[in-house]
Amino acid sequence: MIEVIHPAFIFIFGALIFPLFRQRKVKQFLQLFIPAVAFIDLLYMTEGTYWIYRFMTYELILGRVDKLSMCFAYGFVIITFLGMVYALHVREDVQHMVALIYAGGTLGVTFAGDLFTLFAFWEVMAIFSVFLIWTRQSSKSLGAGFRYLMVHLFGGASLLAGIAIHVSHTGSILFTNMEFGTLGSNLILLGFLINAATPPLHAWLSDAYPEATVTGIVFLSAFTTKCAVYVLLRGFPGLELLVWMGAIMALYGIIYAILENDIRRLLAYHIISQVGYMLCGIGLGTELSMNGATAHALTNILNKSILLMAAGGIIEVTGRRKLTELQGRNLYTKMAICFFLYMTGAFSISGVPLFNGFISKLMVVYAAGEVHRPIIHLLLHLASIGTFMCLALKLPYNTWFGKAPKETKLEEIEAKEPPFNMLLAMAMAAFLCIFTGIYPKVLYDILPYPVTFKPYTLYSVATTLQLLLFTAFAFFLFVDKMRSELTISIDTDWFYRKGAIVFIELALNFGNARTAIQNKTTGIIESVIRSSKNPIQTLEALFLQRKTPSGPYDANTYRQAIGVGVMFFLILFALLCFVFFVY
Amino acid sequence: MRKNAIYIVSLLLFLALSLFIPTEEVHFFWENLPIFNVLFGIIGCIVLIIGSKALGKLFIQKDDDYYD
Repeated sequence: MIEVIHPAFIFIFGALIFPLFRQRKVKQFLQLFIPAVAFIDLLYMTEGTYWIYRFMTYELILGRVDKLSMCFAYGFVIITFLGMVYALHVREDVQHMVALIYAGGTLGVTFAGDLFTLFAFWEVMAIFSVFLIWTRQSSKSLGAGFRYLMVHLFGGASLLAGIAIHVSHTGSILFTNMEFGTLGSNLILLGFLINAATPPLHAWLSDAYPEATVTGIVFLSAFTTKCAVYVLLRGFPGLELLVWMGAIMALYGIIYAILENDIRRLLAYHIISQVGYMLCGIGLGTELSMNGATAHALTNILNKSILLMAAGGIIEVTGRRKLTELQGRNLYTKMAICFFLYMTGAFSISGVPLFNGFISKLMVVYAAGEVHRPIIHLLLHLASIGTFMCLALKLPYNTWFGKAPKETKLEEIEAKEPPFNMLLAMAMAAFLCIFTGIYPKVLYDILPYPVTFKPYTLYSVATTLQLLLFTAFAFFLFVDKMRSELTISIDTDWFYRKGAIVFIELALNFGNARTAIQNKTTGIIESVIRSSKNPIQTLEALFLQRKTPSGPYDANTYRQAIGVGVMFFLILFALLCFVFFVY
Repeated sequence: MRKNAIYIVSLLLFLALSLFIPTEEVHFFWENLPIFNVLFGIIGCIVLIIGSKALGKLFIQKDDDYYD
């Protein structure tokens, strides 16, 4: 057998040698070569546990290879390759390096067999992903990146605390199915849910991703949330809480996406919505639903990346990111290829038959029916409608076609097709979406459980088409209402964005109050010092209202005539005599 | 106008055809209704649009420079 290397280290090592080369062609070659090597490496991996190291009294397992981890690893490596094709024209080395290390961290989590290794790679992901936001180098991305980092460091801290408690209770650091309800596993779950962007802990995603670089968002959307789905699948399958969170999440994303004006933020809300399906599948806990969650994660990695790539293409060539700036400019005539590739992704994510999203989404929804959960079933159906409406109708209609409100002045937008490598990456992802949609056996073969599910029945295709076609009908009735408005939507990040302002104001007020109190106290102390230097002056000022000139103490000012002393003495003497002689 | 007419006619044609599709193993009673998905699509879409716009007007939507 060929000795395989841990794929995470292929990426990390690749990132480290990346800056050693000077020629651009070599660098571009490396960008594609590193994920390609990792992919070949994956093909040679067989199930089992590898790379076990002793650490104190514990055993660190860096490579737990089974169907579930392999499945996600394939998804992550393929999207790294596609993302690198998409980013071939970017000249900033640092973006490629952090993307590679980020991918390495993700694969490290995927193959981690114990909690310590998991945590280490988890933090690698958090720290390196933030550079994909900061390298956009705008003040907005700087702020959003800091908020992103703070949320993720909080999540990491929660995870670490949970791991520490869990290990001290159970004595085992193995990362397996965890019992829900103990303090340790709750904290671990909290850490996972933050990365999965579950409301109300999701605001980092819609806040930070739209501020990332055009190429960086492809990696961001594929890795962090899907990796969280993986660890939830591994750690908390069948957890009832996840079913409801997932269903609510699926709709939550839709509601915000309908209101959203920024194209990439709209897509970011759809990441949240799609992860909702996966969480639901994990929570239902049947073999079909878990397969569905895994399959949906994989198909979502592909189709969501097409959408974000197309959105990135629009931003790259027009420099605009808001629907209100794009609608009515008739971009379709200038960016038709980009439009068609976008629509492949949009049809795929909304589950149109013959695209891969149809299969994976149907698996989860069907699984909800199978265990007889009517409310969940209907909520997921409703979210499907919303996905189709936002991504296949609202966004493309307002971006490429659409009419602007009459009063706005339409200036011409300079637009052309995005660079060739961007289109190529989108085309490759689109090919994979259609290929796995038409020939799902490729997908079924790598899923963790055996698949007996048959998506292409007359009934399911017909009902899906009914649902989607008549959604489109309703949309065009309301097409004027769906025109974008120049607004932003407040989300749970409001609490810490506005909260921080209030906090800083409070801190400033507190500081001012402290200074005021200090000044007052100093004043009192100073007057006490002044008056104790010369009590007579103070008493005179108090009782006789006599203003004595201030200035250094001069004893002569207060000196009385000598006779006054003699008089006082004589009076005292007379009193003494009186007492002595009378009694 | 003509485009719309073609669209609506093909929708109705599709609807008519789909009424004859045999239902398969169903989990809920409403899945036996042949036009359930049609109604759900239309009503769901309208509910989502109106619901979210109402929520948006209520408190979610703010001016574009709200955080600046």
